[in-house]
Amino acid sequence: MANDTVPGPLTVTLIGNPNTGKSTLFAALSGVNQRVGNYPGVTVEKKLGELEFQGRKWLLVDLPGTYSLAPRSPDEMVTVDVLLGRQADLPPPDVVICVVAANNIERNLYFFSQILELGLPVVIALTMNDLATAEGMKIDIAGLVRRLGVPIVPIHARRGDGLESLKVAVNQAAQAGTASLSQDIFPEAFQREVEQLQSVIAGWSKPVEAGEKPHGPPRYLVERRLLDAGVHENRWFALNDTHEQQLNLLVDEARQRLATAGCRVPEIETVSRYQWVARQTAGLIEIPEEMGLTTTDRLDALLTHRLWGSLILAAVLVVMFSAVFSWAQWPMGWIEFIIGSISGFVESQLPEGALRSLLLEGVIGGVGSVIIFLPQIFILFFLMTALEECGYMARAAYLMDRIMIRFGLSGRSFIPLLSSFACAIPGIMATRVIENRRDRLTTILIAPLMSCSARLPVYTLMIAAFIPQKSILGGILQLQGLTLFFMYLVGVVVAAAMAWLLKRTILKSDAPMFVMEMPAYQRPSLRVIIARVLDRSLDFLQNAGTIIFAVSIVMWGALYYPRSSPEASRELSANQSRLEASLDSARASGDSAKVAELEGELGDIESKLAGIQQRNSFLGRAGRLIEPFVKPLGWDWRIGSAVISSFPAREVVVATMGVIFDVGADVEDEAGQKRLTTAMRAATWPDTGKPLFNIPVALSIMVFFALCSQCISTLAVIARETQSWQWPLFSFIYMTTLAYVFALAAYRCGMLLGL
Amino acid sequence: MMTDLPVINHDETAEGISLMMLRPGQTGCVCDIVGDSKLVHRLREMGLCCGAEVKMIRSGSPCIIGLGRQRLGVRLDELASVIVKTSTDACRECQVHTPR
Repeated sequence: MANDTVPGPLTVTLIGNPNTGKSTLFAALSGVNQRVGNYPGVTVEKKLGELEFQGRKWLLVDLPGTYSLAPRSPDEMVTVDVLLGRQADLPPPDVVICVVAANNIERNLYFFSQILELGLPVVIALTMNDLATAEGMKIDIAGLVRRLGVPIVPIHARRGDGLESLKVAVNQAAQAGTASLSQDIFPEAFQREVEQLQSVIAGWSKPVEAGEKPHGPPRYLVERRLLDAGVHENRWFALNDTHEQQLNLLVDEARQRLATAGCRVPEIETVSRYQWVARQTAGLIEIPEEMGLTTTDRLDALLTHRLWGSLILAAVLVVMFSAVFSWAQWPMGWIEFIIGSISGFVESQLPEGALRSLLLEGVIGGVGSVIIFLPQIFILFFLMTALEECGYMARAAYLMDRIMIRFGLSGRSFIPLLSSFACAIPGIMATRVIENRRDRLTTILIAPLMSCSARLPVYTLMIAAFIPQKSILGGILQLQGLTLFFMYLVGVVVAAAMAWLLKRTILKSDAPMFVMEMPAYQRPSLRVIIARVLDRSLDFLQNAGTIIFAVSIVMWGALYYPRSSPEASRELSANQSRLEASLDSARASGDSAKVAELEGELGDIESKLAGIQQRNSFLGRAGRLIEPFVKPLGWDWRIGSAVISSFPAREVVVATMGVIFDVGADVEDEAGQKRLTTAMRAATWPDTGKPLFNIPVALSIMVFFALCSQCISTLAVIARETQSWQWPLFSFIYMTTLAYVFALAAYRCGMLLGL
Repeated sequence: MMTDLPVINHDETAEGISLMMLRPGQTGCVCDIVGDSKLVHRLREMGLCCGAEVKMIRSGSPCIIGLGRQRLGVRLDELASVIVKTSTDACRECQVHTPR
């Protein structure tokens, strides 16, 4: 597309098998100029990058790594659509860079043979050369270039070797135009059938105007229609019903003819392509006859060992999670400080009233309570990406497959579930690696049952207040610690049971087959890790900035309105003014003891006022309304409304409890927690005067929060990843039901045991 | 066409046996893959096609097999099974190329 003036950006698409170093190449080429989104309607990650070469802008499109260009799902079809220029939001590729790993060259060239048939200019970026050399492989690159008819550039993306030559080769390929179609991959009989089908379909499309090229379907799509068993491929040809039926008939006939000619579909594809690869590489690749053990094999002997490997995996997990919690403390403190400073500033600048309250409690409080988890998400993603990039995660999935299969899942579900212990959001996003749709859905639905870090504040509060500090079994175990462990266990056990149930009912399918490449171990690229971690974190922030923002404001309104009538708080207000006056005079006289005393009294009154407002608000009324429903759990309306208020984010319940029990929302610090604990212990049922809280009530609250779906961000992510509103709704209903039933059981059992 | 597999006591056999029956370190030559067509195709795409030489690296379920230089963690069960022959002659029957 030569243009006399300024040429538009060159669209360069990167594609290749997984574990070929494609992401490293993409990161090395585009640097920080990358953005990540989603293709409309599917969850395929749309990674775009930019660079400038010889005065021309390049638009880099990174497609997800795949072993084959035979689309099995709508997600995989996007890859084909992008390559064929049929994806509306992207220009058709000018050049395709096919990333080929030298140490697995046959399998990679199988994939390349599919790319070759698209009729686009292709450049091969040959990676993993050092690994191949270390294994004693020799590849005659010049010979391969002659046979394949495409440029091959050996690169080492992490070191930056070969990147310039690659860019030059891509530029030349763009100027030279289309690569010739390789016609000799399939046997002649098969090619004839494809051509016939192609001309039939071309005849069905709209008549060709004079001077126009006949617009038949791309040959590759026709070939796929003949090879792949599914019927969804008809969509490609935009046919009417009659033609579609005719096409189905024609394809069936063609397949039968091919079968009698010894070309059975679909075997013909793999057989022909691997034979083609063998012809192309014959005499050009030298491989040592007897291969010694590679470093990867030696490591695997230990890391995939049933006993030692499992122990190492357990150790890795322990270290990873303690890192998530301990490393995150510092940055979480900073974020808390920054949010506190912003609130302080707003508080000092605005007069008391609805606007100030909206900004403080609604906006800053709501969004702040979510942003606080950013450091944990960041660290978790950093460590997980690092483990993934060096090849360990495939081993972890391998080891866990044995356990996961009992619940109808495969080892691939392990990593997403694992990350859900920190936060379900990255966990659900990580399910994209699961090929089978039903497995992926099952994993998404059970991931929020893992006790995430937001549950921890609830557990800590309840355990500290009501579980006695007793050691059991002769001091080996602490009752409090055991209770915490039990809460985590409840989530895991219920998740396992749910997975088992889901896979036998609404998401019925056989246990998925597990085929996973165990890539050679390698040093991870820091650039790739950072880029991916930043993507995920931004994604999370975006979520916090939109849905959570909106829900926080709604919840604020429910707590703020309607304002309580002045009569209800007249006495307190009068007291407040009196105290404020004496506080001013005490300050003036410099009596610091008196100031402290008055400030304390004033604080109590403010908390009480807040409590009155809370009881009067929509939320308080809602709490009263649902009291009959939560009474069987041992809860009164105060706990009920605290639970309702924590719908957007479960950790909010701690602050709401603070307001409801008249000690103020500021209960994060130790002193605040102590005040709340005391207030909760003192709370009684108004009619009987019995204490509101006891161990069974604390247990029922904890169990409820372990299983409930009180997290709007998780529901939003489920909606996005499943592209529907039914699944988040289902998730919310089933989790809330489970939470209620188990909380009820916990309370009843506790009462029966006389705790 | 899958019949009950006879118990194999000797190391080399021209009879097809399930890949799962290979002992660690033993190699076999793929002669058929049976089962769900999509999964079979996926395995073939990974290079596990007729004539390919596979080596059992870690047996069990899932097992780790070596296919050329690639290592695959695979769980083969009722969904798909790979039939291999362990005799050296058997491989020559397959005219199909062996991915190295």
